Amino acid sequence: MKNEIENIFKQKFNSFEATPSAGLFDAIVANRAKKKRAIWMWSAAALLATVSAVGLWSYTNNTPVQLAEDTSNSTEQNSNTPTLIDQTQDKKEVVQENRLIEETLAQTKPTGVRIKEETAAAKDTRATKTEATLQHRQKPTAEKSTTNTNPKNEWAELFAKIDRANPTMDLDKGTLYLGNKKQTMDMSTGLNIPQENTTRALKKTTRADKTENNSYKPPLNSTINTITSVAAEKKSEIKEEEENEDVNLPLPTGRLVALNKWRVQTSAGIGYASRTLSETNKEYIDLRNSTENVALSYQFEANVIYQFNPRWNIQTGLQYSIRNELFEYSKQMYTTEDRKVQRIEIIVHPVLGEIERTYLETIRDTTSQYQKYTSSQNKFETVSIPIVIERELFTHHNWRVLAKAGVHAGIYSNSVGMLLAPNSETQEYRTLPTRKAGINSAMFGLGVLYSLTPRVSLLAYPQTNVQINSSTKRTAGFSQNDWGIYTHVGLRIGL
Amino acid sequence: MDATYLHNNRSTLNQTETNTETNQLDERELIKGCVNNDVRYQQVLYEQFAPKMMGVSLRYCTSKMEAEDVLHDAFIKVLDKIKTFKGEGSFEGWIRKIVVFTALKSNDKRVRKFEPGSLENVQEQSFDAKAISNMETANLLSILQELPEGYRAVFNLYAIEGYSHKEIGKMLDISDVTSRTQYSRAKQHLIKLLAKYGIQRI
Repeated sequence: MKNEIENIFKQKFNSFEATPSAGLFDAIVANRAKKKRAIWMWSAAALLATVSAVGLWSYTNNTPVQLAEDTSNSTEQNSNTPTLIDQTQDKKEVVQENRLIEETLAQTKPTGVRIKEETAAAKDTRATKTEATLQHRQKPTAEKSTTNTNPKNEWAELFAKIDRANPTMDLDKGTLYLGNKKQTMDMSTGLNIPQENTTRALKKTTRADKTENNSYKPPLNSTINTITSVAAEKKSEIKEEEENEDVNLPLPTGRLVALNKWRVQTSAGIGYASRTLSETNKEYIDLRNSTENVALSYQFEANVIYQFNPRWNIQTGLQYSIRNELFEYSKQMYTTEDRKVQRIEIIVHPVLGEIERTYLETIRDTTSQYQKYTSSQNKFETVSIPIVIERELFTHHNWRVLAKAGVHAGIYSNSVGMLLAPNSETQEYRTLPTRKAGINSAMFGLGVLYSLTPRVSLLAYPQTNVQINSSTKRTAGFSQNDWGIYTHVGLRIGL
Repeated sequence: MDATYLHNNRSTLNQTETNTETNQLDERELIKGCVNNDVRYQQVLYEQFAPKMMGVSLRYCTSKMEAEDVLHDAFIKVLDKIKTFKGEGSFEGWIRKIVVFTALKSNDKRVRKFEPGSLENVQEQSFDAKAISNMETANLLSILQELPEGYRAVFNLYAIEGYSHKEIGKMLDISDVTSRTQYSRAKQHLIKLLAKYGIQRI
């Protein structure tokens, strides 16, 4: 008898068939095609993104945007002689070029034509450049040999080196960032060219007045003669410049490192995180708040940063965030016991006199009281992709103050642990309809960066995250949004 | 060679379409045609298995519409994954498994409550087996569909599909004790529902 019900159902349903609606097969075929198209489009988009990222990488690798000054490690270098540490170019090429510079310097009075010939013989990779620019490119080294005592010419040489290492750079002007201040230098004289729209300091009228006579006209497509004449003019201006030292911004004295536009950053954060509940039932909110205690929460993050401007950058990567919570709930329990007591009742009857009646009375005793204690270490994990924009607010020596804001796109989330259901019973999170992905959040942070070396910086970043989507689905009956304040500590490395 | 192969099969296909009595296409050929993404083979496969699978799907769902949704998703999976069918075990069993899993996954989206608990002393109750046997399958289906979500899933998996409680536990992410409890409760509930249809307990 025992398994009869199973057998009957099994028999009945094994041969059970039903006809689905007529158009179902067509829908299956159509939706399959749609799905395939979507997969194809996504993979195409991913491929395009990868290709463009690699392209951008290789492009930016050739253009140093920033020269970071290493003040900590100046002992090994002559403090007055800046050198360029270039890791992006083929070393052989650099060695070859250095030899070329030395040979050029050995000439006491080189002519432009001679240099041009030698350049063409030694190196034909720059065959695409025009002759005039080639001649012009050699100019600073030729100048150096004659006015070797002027430190500004060393700067001209530095610019020439930077220029050679980066063929895509403007050949007539070398652009250098000192901190955030963009400086432009005349390649032939080593003079700083003040630019009104790049440095705020130079916008001041007093400075503008002073520099009016020094206005620079790049010798584009000019002959050697004009270059030398321009150089001669500039040389006379150098003396004036030296008298008015404040026209030029101070040049760095330490070792210089060429950085491209990419940085990598990794950080770990510790913080206080909780959640907001949206529920109309106030009592339930109180109940939840009284049973859920905040515990320390953690975040781990690894990011790639694209420094598209000395001040601004955009970052993305992966973040793992875990919010911890201690659930404790004590429910008071009573055990009751019924006991029967025999009672005797005496009724006085007017005729019969006293009548004795015996009966049993049930008395309920609450004999004991104990607490049912439930506890659980709740965990709310989220893996997300941050898309964050960061701006540098100000710099002071090796310190930088930064602010960032952005969104985190959730790709995975998991809620583990227990909570109190509206009926005051404990319930596990996994029985609730919780979201497994798509919990997005907004973030804002204000942090400090300290440069250890030109490439490596330490960071301390207090930041706050607020979930945009609820971690529970609509069918759960209440929505729950996490928020947290974390302090991240980490490393940022310039590439 | 491929062309002749297809040509031959096309004629077989036409035969199947016209000739109602005979021969369902050879299973291996059918699978091969579906792997090659030929819509006509896919249609034959659909027509061959859809009614049976609709029957399976209906047992897990509460409405025809929902069951068709499940069937739709399941057949997309079947056609996508048919390459992975190695020929081990029956093809129908393989499809059925996909339908069952799709149905469970779709039910997952809604709240399914499993009250964990210890095994209770549920007394097996006797009932009029003959009367149940005489009932229409359609009526039994509506009784089954009246069962709460969790009960229905466990009852279907254990009593009709023949999975063990351990396997069910794994499928539904519950302990096998919970599955057992759910099953006995489901049976109790079912008997109550049967009473509504006039099936008497003996």
